[in-house]
Amino acid sequence: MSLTEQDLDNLSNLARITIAPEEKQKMLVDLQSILGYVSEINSVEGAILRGEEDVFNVVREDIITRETGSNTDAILANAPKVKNGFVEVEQVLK
Amino acid sequence: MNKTLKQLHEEIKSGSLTIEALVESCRKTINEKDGDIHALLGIYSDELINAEISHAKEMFAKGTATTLTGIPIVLKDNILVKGERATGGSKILENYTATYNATVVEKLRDAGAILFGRANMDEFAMGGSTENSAYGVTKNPHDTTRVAGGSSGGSAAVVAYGGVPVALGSDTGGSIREPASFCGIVGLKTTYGRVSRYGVMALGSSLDQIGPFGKSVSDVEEVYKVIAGYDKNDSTSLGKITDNRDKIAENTNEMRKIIGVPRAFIERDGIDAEVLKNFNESIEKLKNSGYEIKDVNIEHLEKALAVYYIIVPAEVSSNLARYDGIRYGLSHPGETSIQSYFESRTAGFGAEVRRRILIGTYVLSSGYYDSYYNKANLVKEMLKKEFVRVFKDVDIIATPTSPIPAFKIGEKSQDPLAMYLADIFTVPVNIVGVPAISIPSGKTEGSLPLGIQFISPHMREDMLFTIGYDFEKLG
Repeated sequence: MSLTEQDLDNLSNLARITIAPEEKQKMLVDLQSILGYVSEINSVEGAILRGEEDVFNVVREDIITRETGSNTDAILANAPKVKNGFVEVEQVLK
Repeated sequence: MNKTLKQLHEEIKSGSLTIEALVESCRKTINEKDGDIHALLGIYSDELINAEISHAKEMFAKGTATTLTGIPIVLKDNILVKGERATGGSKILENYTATYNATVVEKLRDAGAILFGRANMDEFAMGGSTENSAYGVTKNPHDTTRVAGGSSGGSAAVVAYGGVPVALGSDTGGSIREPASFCGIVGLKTTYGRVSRYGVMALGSSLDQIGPFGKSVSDVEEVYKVIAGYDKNDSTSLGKITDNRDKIAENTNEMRKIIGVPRAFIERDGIDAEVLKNFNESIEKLKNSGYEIKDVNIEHLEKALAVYYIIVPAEVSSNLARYDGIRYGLSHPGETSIQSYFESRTAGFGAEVRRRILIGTYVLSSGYYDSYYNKANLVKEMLKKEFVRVFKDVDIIATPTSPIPAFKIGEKSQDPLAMYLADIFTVPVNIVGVPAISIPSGKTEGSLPLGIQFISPHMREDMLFTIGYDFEKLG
């Protein structure tokens, strides 16, 4: 298990988290040590027999259960920027 | 606050104690002690508390009061109460106001409980000491140089120092049982799906459960009876289960009073000598009181922690993708939307959260998915089968709750793996989905509390209460 600084950069890009240059070394050591530890499960042999898991999909009826707009104000009150009842974001297409 | 809920209930009913006086005495204790301990992040608004007091008094007047009516309860700060702050112990939600009630909150309300305040926790429940809280560590009421445990450290500490009689926490890998053990109180992790997760901030959704803390098995059972039950808002809620344990017991096997002890797993490197001695003494007491003790071997048990630290980061990296600084939470604007994600998340998440998101991103990435995430799920299925097999021969599996007593603040915070190993006995329970309880089992020579963990088959919380009452009587 060896993780390069490039790997760390790729991961932080995918996760949308910046790792400061001075943090990188410690983060690499931590990630290596955790990944090294969890890799021990690779010694287990076998395969999951499909259909044996006790899991199943749960779906609800596709209907509106609340009055439209009844939560809008409370939800928008948490948004950093609001305009005309919408969440305002940076322009995406320029 | 050493009275049980049932005693408090009788006192309120008889008029020798008023609900206002009970709430006031909690406030007074918290004002005196929380400055040192820092178990709480806040008290709910007077408006909320006063409305609940009126509601509780009405229930007593109408004769519809339950054991929890008028009882102040603290909630871990990842449980949502409409109109109140909920931070999850994270800076990213510092100013977040909940927009709906968790199902457990509705249930506690219906029972007349007084929702009292918000308990400190590791950021988004990631940790075993509350040292990862963005708002400072919770200290252990038995020794303030030591941690209270975590991630539900605040909930455990406030009950332990007598601030409130009961509290709720959440447990994904031991986050109720470990702090209960460190603080010398009782903590219950229920069968996965038994208590609704609706309105609790998601950590590892396939493992998370909300559960109670109390000073006695009886108090924990009283809260359990109120919060358990089917909920259509939680797609993993157990459907065909009644929350009345008498009815469950009717339909299932009698308890045979056989305890399995996974000796080889327990007597490992890193287990504290006093913990092991105390555990052996507890088992001896149970044996002398009529329980049969069997040595059990559970294949792959030692792999559970590795499974956990693959599945949880994987689910964390997905669950925490929602914190983008756009709809709610801390927002640091960047030049583009994507840049805003980076700025907000980097400023809002602490070190452990970032670490786990990166690990999760790694184990879910193309090329590693099979060797980590799929393999972890395979071992999880194997472990479940092993537990079902072992529970044919025994009713209860017993281990120490934690291999060590409460450790010093700062002792493990620089080494994430050392911190993870403190969960070695609690994590397998979540992986398998069975219920477990931690009960105080004595103290070290240095007066630090120790706990014993009892694990029962799926949906057999009743067995945990039975052995819990028996164990409490043995002193």
